[in-house]
Amino acid sequence: MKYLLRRLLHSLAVLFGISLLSFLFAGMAPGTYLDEMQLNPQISPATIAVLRAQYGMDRPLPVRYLRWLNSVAHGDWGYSFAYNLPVAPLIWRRAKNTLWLTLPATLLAWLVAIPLGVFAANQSGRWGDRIAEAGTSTILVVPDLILALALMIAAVHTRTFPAGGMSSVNVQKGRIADIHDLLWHLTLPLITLALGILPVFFRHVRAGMLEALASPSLQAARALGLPPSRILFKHALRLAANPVLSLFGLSMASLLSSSLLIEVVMSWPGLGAMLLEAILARDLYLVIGAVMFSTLLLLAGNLIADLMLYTMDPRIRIGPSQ
Amino acid sequence: MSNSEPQPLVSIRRLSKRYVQGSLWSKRFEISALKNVDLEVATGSNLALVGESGSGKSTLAKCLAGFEEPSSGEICFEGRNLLALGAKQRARTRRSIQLIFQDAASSLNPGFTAEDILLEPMVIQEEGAPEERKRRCVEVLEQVGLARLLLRRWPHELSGGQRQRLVIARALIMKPRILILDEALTGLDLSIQAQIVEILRQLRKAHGLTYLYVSHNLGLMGAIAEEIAVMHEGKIVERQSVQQIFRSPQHPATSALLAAIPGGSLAFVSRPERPTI
Ligand SMILES: Nc1ncnc2c1ncn2[C@@H]1O[C@H](COP(=O)(O)OP(=O)(O)O)[C@@H](O)[C@H]1O
Ligand SMILES: [Mg+2]
Repeated sequence: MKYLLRRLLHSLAVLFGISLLSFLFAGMAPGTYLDEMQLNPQISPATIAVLRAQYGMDRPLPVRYLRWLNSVAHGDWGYSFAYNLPVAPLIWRRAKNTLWLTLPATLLAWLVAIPLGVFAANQSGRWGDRIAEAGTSTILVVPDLILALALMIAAVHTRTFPAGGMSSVNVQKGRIADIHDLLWHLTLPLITLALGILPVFFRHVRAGMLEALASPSLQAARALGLPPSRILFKHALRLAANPVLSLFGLSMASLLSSSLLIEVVMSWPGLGAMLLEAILARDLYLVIGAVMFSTLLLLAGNLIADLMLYTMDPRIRIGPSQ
Repeated sequence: MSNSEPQPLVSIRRLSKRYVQGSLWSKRFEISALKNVDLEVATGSNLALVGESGSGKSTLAKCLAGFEEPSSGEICFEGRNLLALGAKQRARTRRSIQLIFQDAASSLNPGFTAEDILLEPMVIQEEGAPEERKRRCVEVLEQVGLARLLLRRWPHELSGGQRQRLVIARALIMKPRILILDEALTGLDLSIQAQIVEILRQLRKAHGLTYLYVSHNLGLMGAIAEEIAVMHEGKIVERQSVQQIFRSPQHPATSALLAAIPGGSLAFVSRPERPTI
């Protein structure tokens, strides 16, 4: 328990540090949303001055930071200049779409990578391993962009899946139909994304399993005359669990960023497109909010991985006696 | 050795093992780790295989225990050639031949409790109710001098000596006929070494086990084995009783091993009450 508490405090400290840093960097960056407004002749300087006071941009950086902390405490996470709305609900609406895409894609990639990695390691050097290795290496060298475009072209030609977007304009028949429509739109970006992350997961699982299979404790298990499937999935996978779980945490962390390109290419209304806009428009608090949100996800991912390691690995859960 | 059983427990004939070295890029070459080895181990004997590092001792042990596939030759166990058996039969026979490594810690999976480690071999035996299996765990644990409350411990919570005893207990669960102990005493504290030697001595008395020790340390083997076989460059060059080996070594390799014993070998042999197990 102490271990987890320490990790939690550590995460909070990191979150605090990241917020400070992003404020510092944002403060140093030239120009704000309001500076760009000044170029617009239709907006009077007086209006801009009022806005500036309203958003607190006339105050020094430390004051702005404290105000922002206060707004975080109220669940707003600052105000967006462009939308004139609190940042948190804005981000959450888009992040939800992103997670709809990345969560199942990551899950799918893991569901394929684990059995495939175990299989390849077990077949090490033989044909099954070589085919899996060659296949994933090919996917690895093909840029995600080409992969996305190729799948889109195939979809358009065969008319099986929509080439982009998250929902059809004219379909609105009820819950079931909506879900069906969402899944139909989800398929293509999901496969693209899952294919993109699969090779890394696969290699990790394979390497972990190879190391586990070569360990003396596995030799001992074989000497007991246990069935191969039990040796593979009970003995070896338990040994390989540590590195795999660590990567699992990292994969949670990249749930927001991994889909950026695919969101743009396949016009998926996720966080990526909004973040890009916000950066270009210098919508300060929206950018900081997005940074904070992805940091939060990163820390949560690592925390989940730690929690899983903690429950799975007795060496972490229970220290050596004496 | 009784006359009613003239057949040796293990009979190795013309056993060879070649390792192929080199990768795709470098030239391939072969290492002959075993060269036409013949070795007979009688039921109930207490034999030590001694030789300098790289002489092929571990390779022989691994071939016998089924960890390595020999290149040629025969390994007969109770008169049947293991290498000619089908996979199922071989797996069953393999359980009668248990190999214990030097590094006990690494041969225990850190993700299993002591109890799971001991229960695991019984999974495929499919014999006995759960309580019966549990009883067997406690039994072997007591045989190696470990308390039953250690059943719930993880390997990393045990001391080095406790781990080595747990490994021996796991081997005992299989009711083996022969234990091969490859440097199983190397690297342990002297007091723990003495404890384990004593446990092995008692086990042998209780179960009529056959021991094949494997070590580079002739001094230690002289103290715990009855017979010594000396290995040199993949061959067995000499086999004698401990007294004979120490009194009149026949092969230069044996003399070299004797010379390597700290404190000299003669002082050791002249000790009247030489402890054997
Ligand atoms: N897996 C292996 N691959 C290649 N060569 C090996 C392998 N195992 C052992 N050898 C070689 O076989 C010879 C005998 O090794 P080994 O049986 O371990 O000797 P010992 O146990 O007497 O020290 C050595 O030359 C060693 O390098
Ligand atoms: Mg060796």
